[in-house]
Amino acid sequence: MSNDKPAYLTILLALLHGIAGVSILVISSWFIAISAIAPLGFNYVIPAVVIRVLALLRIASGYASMWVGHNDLLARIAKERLLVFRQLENNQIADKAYTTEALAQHTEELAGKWIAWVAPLSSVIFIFSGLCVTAMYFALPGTFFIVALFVTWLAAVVVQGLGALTIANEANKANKQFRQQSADFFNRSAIWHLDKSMVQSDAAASNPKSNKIPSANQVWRYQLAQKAKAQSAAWWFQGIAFLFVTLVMSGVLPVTSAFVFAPVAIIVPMVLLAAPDWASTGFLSVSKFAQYKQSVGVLKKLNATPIKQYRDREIKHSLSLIQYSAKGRHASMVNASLPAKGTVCISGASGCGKSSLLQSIIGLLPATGQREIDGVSMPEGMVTNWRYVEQEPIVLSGSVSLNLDPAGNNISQHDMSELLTQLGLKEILPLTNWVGKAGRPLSGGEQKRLALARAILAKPPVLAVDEPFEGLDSYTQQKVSEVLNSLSATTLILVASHTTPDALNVKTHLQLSEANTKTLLHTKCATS
Amino acid sequence: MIKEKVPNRQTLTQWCKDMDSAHTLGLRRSLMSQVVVKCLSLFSLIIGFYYFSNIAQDWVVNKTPALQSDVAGLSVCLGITWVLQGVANRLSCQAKGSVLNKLEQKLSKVFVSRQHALVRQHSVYYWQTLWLQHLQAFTDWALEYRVQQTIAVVVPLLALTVIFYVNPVIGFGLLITLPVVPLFMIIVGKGAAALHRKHFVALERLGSLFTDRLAALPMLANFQAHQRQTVLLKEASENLNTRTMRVVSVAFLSNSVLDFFATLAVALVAVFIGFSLLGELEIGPSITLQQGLWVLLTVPLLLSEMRKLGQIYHQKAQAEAAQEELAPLYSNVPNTVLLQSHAQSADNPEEMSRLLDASNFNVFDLRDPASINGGHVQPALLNASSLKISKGDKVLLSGKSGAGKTLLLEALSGQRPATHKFEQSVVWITQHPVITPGTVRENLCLNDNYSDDTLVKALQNVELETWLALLPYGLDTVMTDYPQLSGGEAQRLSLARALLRDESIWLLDEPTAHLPDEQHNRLAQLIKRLGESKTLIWASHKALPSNWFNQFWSIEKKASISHEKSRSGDEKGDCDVGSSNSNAVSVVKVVNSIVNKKGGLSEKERKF
Repeated sequence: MSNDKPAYLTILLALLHGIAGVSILVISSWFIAISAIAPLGFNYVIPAVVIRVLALLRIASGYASMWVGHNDLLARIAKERLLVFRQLENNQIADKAYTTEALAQHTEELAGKWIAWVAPLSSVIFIFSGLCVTAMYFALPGTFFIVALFVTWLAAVVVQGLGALTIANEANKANKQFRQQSADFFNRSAIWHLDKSMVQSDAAASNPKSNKIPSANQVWRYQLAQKAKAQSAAWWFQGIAFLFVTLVMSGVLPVTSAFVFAPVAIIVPMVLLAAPDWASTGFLSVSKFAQYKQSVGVLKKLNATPIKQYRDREIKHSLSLIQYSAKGRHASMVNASLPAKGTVCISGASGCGKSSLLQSIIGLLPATGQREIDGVSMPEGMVTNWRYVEQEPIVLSGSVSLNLDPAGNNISQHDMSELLTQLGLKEILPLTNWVGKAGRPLSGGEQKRLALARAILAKPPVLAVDEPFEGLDSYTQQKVSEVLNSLSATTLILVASHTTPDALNVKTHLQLSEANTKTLLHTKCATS
Repeated sequence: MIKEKVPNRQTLTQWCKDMDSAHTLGLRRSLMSQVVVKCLSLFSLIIGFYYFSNIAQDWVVNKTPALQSDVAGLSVCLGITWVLQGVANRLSCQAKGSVLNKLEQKLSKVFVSRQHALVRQHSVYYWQTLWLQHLQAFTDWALEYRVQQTIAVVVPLLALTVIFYVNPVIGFGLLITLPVVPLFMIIVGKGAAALHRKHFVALERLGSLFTDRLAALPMLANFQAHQRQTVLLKEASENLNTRTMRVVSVAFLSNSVLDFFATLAVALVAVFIGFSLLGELEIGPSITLQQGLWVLLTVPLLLSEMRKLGQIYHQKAQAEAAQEELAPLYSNVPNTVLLQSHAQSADNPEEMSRLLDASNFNVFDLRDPASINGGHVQPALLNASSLKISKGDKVLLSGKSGAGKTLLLEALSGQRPATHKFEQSVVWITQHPVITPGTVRENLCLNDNYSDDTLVKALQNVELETWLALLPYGLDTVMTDYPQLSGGEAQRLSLARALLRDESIWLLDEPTAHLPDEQHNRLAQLIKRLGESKTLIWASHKALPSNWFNQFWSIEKKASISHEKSRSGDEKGDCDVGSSNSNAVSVVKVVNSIVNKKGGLSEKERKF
């Protein structure tokens, strides 16, 4: 999905590292072989120096390739993620925890392309072809075998690659299935005790298939199979390399070379013998390649639904809802006229669609029916300056002030601290305090109030709050009510709640009925 | 900058040993067999090197083709190496599969015995990660990392012995310059450990920041904060990357030291042998090409296995992370809490109808493994001096949210370690009714079989017959993600589920907490009517008529005891009772005064 610059340096250093390794092996074996027969006037200093230089080169390139590779990897991960994040601007993705975690994983896979499989594979190919060319050029004994081994390696990589792709595909499916099954399974945990087949499985664990407990077996099997595939490819390659060593050394094929018993003749068998060590890394890389392909596919298919945004006029008199309901949910149809300012309390049993109604009014969920401002109907989409506070609010991992001002609108520190104090959140001050995942954990009630403060500070004309009083003690409920009361002078506040504290001044009650279509609307005199 | 938390706990190896013996995983045996096969394979390779260098000697020095015997030796040795390598691969794969299976079975046993009390403490995502990844991380470590760890010690010794045998001078030199086993174990252990841990942590942090903002997408869209957050994300990751690279640059050095020694050992040995053959160096016994080549081929084995260990070091870091989550779960498998004597077959009729007679009743934390068997008794989370329940009793359980009502119910049903529990199985009705995605029939039956008549009758009893009549396919209508049920209706469905079972004890954990008052009243009436013949323990902080009950229990955090029978106005769902980290002990108090006052009435009620 991104056509970025290849990591040349990473590849080059990996190549250097590999070449230096093989060269040391070849030159040292040749060196001691030639030393054994020591022709007169043999200059032994140069090869000895070359060996030492190669050793230093290998060490240096090893360190450098590690450093450069990881530096590059980290930079690429950051880049990939920013790219994905930017693309998701004003989008919603299916809100499942593993989707986001998986995205982190997949972007990592994508960024690791060069270091994980391109560099190792290309370095093995380069070394192999270099060896073949050298062997043919010097017509070394056993040249045929080294070429044959290269062909074998290529064939093995292709075969393994195709297999690995299928397995990765299957593994992905199995993973998805397990996620689905286990999510259902865990969501049912409160009624496990009623399920006879589960309770009995405790007594007779010998028959695990009979019950409905899901198993990750399939997922693991594919993962093991992927590993086993790489291992077996490496194993067959090793077998063939060893076979070729034996064949070369036994002299089965008559050799017509000038170097039959010369010291250089030792080189090809040495290379063949060591081939499983330096060429097998390729097979591991192939599995990585398959994972990479999977990740590319997943990121391509990432289905995000865009949220349309637009700015709407100020509400002068009323906001009317006509035959209004969130799309696709079994929520009641609502006909109501809401005042331009003041608190509207939406009540009803849980599951009757309070939350989805709120979200659809703000425009975060698609809806059927009409929204009208002062009799003029509104287009579909989210109104940019209306705010919604979730039932389970999101706290960003960051400082309190970042959480209160996520858009960077330079809201004054004073306003922030004052509002938090009013909401009884003094204990999370100072504003530089780190909250969220990596910081101070906040209780459910604290999260609610922090999110409420965030929304209030944005000074919206319409504020929708989902269950603001759940999880708060009566004293804090009163504080929150007071804040909402003072805000209601300037703002239309929609509160979805199954309890209404006495301290909250409610202008209008909107009762969502259990039955599907009836909606009762009581309008109380706004005297309280 | 990047701190590592080293909690005070059992080491991984020790834990692994305990796991192995407690759950008969057969880790030790498979570890040993893999090590033996792998070492034999490498030993056979070293012998193969001998024949290889013999042939080289013939070729280069004697200018003759290879001897038949040498070729035969070479092919046999390489063949053995190859076959044994294959065996090792297979062994490893099979062992992993079977250990994973066993661990999974134990895990499902834990789920079955602890049920909702355990599962409700974490998100579904947490459990999935634990199941899929942590079990695998442990297995990988136990069957791959540890095998390699042992091989990395044994093989260098083997190689060194051969080198000593061939040429003591080189062997001695290697031994001095490379204090192989201890030093390198430390270098690999500490160096690679630091490297991988830091790298691991850095990637985790980057990932968690990314997922954190991804999870907040709708909010960011609502607040038009996306661009600002993109900028922040960019800055944060750049910052983190530079810091990580600074740390990792040093950590890489330790890895390179190993590379340095490995490469230099080969280079220097090659030069030494070459010079000895040339006669430039005359230290120790004279050397032949055969010996020299054999040594040269064997030297890399000194360090290559250790480097392989470094490559899979992340397995250890992952296993450590897994241990933290898995250890408390797996230590729970054998029910460590000894149940005190109760519900024994008694003679007098009063005792016969007694379901529970608990004195000094204690409830413990789920996660703490050392309950009673460890010698030190862990502090109880909840305590009651005496609780008695007879058949047909109706108990009202009151207390603030978070006081421990759910805790007590969990303990009574046996989902949580405690000193007493009901012998009979019970039916739970929870705050949030569970509706599974299957059909209405599946929702009611849950793998049992009931006739249609029974099902319809149960639905009639809970006043759902009109709802049923409206369903397009009746009992076979599939519930979707958004079932056509209001909160009250869903709760009725779970009541119907309870009615179908013949368990006579019902635990009601605030079944009406999320309903508006009118519905609460209707549903409470219904529960009361249907539960007439059952033993009820009803936790509620919404008002219920006190003449429905004959026992009143109230739960308070800390020692002070409240005599109020019910509280309203505090609507918090007490979902975090088990994980509350305060040390306050909940105390259950049987409130007698109300029993006395209303005793007559409730006796009357029980007759119906």
